[in-house]
Amino acid sequence: MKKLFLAFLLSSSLNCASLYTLDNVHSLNLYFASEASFLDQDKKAALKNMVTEKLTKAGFVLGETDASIFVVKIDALKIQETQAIHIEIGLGEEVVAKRKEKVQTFAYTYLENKFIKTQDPYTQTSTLLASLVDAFIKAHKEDNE
Amino acid sequence: MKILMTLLTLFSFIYAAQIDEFAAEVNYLRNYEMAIKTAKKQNKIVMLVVVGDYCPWCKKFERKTLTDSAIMAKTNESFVAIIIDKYKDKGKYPQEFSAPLIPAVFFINPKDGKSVQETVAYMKPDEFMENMDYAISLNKSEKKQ
Repeated sequence: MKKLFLAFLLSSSLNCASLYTLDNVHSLNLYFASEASFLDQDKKAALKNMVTEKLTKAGFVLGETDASIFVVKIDALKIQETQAIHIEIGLGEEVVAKRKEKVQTFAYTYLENKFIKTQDPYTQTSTLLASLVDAFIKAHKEDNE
Repeated sequence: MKILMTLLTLFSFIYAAQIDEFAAEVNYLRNYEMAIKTAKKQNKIVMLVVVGDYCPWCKKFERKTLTDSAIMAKTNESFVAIIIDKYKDKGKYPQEFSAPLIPAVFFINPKDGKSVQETVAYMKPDEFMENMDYAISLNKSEKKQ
């Protein structure tokens, strides 16, 4: 019985959204960086809009001065007909490091990424980017409950 | 002499390890023998928290769960809490509590030094509270026998 109880608690704890602490993150500035050849301006704009919509719907205020930077970075390498794609999202902000004399520095306080190989790069990128943003929103919600 | 003592205290605080700072902040002990002795005296259970300075989940567990006001109140009321670094404090606590996964918490009966309940991995305050209550109930039922 004790083992069963322990197993239940362990499995539920492993469902925690993120190891990062996202308390009190309310305003964001979106920084979208990509040199991937399969993303033309329209596709980049569509991905940017998708991220903006998700974040806004989740209650974040976008575009304020000195907000934390929500970074979206997409890199790709074409190998014959296949694209190897690395999608990364992160939260960048000024923090005070626990070093001697409390040094202030820019740091990523949230960072997640996915790596795929696909022959349908735009659709796959859009789906994975959406899932990364959803995971960020879920982690933020959990930390601010 | 008083000035020298003040300076020494200040100096040791400035260069204290983060685990010592945290222990002071939440009123946890850092000495295993002292924890057992105090728990016996106060008729409480020892709550041994095992962490590592490299472990981000441990930091989150400290920040989000162990400093939660309800958890802190319950800790002060029912437990003698001690926090140790799995590696840095090696040799200063029984090796049976050197958990393979951290953060880990052992609820220890001070009379025989045996764990009555363990938790592994990050837990949110409400989940951890269930474990604390369970450890208390186990201890109560043992006292009745």
